[in-house]
Amino acid sequence: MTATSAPWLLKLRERAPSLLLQLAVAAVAVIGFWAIYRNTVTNLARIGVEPGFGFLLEESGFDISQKAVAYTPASTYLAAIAVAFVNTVLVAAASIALSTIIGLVVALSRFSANPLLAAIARLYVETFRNVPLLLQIFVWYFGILSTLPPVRSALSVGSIYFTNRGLFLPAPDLSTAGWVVVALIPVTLIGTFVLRRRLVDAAASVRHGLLGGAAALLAVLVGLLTWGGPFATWTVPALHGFMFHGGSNLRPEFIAMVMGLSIYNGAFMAEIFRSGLLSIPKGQYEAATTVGLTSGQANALIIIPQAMRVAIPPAVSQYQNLIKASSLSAAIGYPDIMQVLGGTILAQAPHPLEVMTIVMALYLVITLFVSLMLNIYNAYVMRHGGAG
Amino acid sequence: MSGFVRDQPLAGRAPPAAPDGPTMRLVKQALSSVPNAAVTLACVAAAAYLAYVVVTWGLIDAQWTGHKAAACPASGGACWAYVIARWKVLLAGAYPLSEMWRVYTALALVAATIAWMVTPRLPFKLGVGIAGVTAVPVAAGLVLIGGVFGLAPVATSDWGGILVTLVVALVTLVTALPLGLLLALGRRSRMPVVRVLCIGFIELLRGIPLLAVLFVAATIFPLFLPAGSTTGLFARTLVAFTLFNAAMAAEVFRGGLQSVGRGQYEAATTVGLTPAVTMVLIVLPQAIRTVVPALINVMISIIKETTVLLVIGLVDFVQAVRVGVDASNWLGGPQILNSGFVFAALVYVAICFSLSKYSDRFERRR
Repeated sequence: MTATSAPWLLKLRERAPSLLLQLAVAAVAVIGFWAIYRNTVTNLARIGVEPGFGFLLEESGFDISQKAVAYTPASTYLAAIAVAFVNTVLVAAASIALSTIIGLVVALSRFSANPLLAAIARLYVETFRNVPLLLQIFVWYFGILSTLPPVRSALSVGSIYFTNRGLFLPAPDLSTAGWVVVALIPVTLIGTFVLRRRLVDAAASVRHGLLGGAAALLAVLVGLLTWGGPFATWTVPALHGFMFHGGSNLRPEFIAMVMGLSIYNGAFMAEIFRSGLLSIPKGQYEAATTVGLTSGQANALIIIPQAMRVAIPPAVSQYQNLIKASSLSAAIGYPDIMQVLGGTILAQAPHPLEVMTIVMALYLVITLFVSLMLNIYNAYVMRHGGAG
Repeated sequence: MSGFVRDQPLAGRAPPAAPDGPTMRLVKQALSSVPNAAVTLACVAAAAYLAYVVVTWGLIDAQWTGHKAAACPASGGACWAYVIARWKVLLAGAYPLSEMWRVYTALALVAATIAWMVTPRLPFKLGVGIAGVTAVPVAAGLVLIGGVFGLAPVATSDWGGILVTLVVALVTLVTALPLGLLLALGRRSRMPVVRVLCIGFIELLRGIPLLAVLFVAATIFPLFLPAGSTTGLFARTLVAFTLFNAAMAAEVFRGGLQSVGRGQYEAATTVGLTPAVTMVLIVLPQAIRTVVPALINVMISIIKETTVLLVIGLVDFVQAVRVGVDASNWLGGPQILNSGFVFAALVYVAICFSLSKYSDRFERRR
């Protein structure tokens, strides 16, 4: 070594404290994880449990009250998890759609020129976002839905029956042709949207013609389904003995979850949309009306597209909150991921670690999927910030 | 020529119409057009109906006295008698009645500290604040738990009601915020090991429901400990709440840290401050001030989250409302439970609404 240290040695000296600290942190983390691992292995061995995911292929032995996928007590645990996953997705999708609609309507109402409407919208937001979600779900479930009349004396509106066993309503049994018709509905909607974008410079008559054609096509599709014919066989709920047969049944647990989640999160969505709308300077609206747009056009073409850019990031995290909050179903017995895995399977199969790992993994997958979808949409909105 | 020159003064103009009073202005806004008037009419009808239901159910037909369900017939309105007769259970669950003074003492201690902190112009804010997160929780905890100074021990499994809700919320607040700040600093650290661990922890806990964290704490956490060691369910719950909300607070603090400009760091380095001193004296005070409203939002969500405790078998405020209607003397119509729910909702709205108003005050002050 010469009197002047080599550059690498100087660098090392400068970095030494940081490196030592990281080494210490890493050591603590490794020792901590190792201790947890050792303790777990010993504890599991002591109570005689063989860790592993093999149990998923065993017969579950329990039934699930709401199943969109074929399932019996003779099915495997894996099948039970699939049913639970679908149930979580159903309740989350319905609640996300409904809470978004509520949020939009309430946010626009708060900007209404009508002071009474704005005041009612504000009262809704301040009340429902300050009452815990679980309490709201309980009020729906125990306070409202369970006090509806029993099946034999059901309240009815047409062929829709409200009972303490849930909602019974007519349902179509779709043939293959029927499914094709159903699939054509989103195709029409997306096609119209894409075409409208392509035709942005076309004459107004062409654009209006496109909208009219799309509306007529949708009306025909819906008409075909309602008519039934070769496409769908409608069954109407009918009372046989103590239960309705035919039609479909929305169980009270499902309704309570969707109502609670939608109304609670609707208040938050309203605030998110409102802050998005507030972020657009008033000049944008004034400029739009100056160049001759009507108030509705200014909102639809100028204000809302820009407001969406601001609203999307908080909306994503609100949707993720909603999905995570749907796990509260465990408190009223709606058979979703949390209830089936964290409730039934955790109590029944001696595999707590594996079960909770699956629960966390499933929720992570769903929330990450939502965030991926909305990030794609967000990138799209950022690129095409103009007309909707 | 004369036609162009005015030789008579013009008649004075009529005075401008008196400006509308606030009431008149509202009425004009509400009835400005036919559709608007229709909306107004619908709103008035809805509001009148709501007011009618609230007044008849909640006041006129309500029952205020009585000690069993018979006092509240199903045909009547709200059953406030249920809330009044059971207020001690709603406040503290199965806490022994002879020891209730300890609950009052602890609550009064905490309430006094909070009142001191939120009242402007009271002195010793820093001292009271430090005591508020150190000595006060310890003292209140000792009074509640007992086992010292001749106080009889009270098992946490006997705690319940608003007491549990407040204890969990306040303990979480005092522990989760500092931990969240550390996590946020770790996430922005230049040291890869620290950064990766912090990011992993934060993102994992933000991606899963609180209920899943609580289930882990309740069912599989004991497996992680050496054989023979025992921890109470209540303590494990507190740990779960702290870790979960620390991850939430970490993201809030991260936002605050990001809001402090680079120039602040550069200026501090220029005048000779070390990185650590820069962080404590320059960056953190600015960052924390920015995120106070967001932290209050975290606090509001902690308070609402405490209802989840009932799923893992603790008796929080909402559960204290529910357990009562299963007692033999309160078996009755649904209005008994609903009255309890409405009361609980009012308490939550009062707490959360005043917190959010308090947070608005910070936003306006800046």
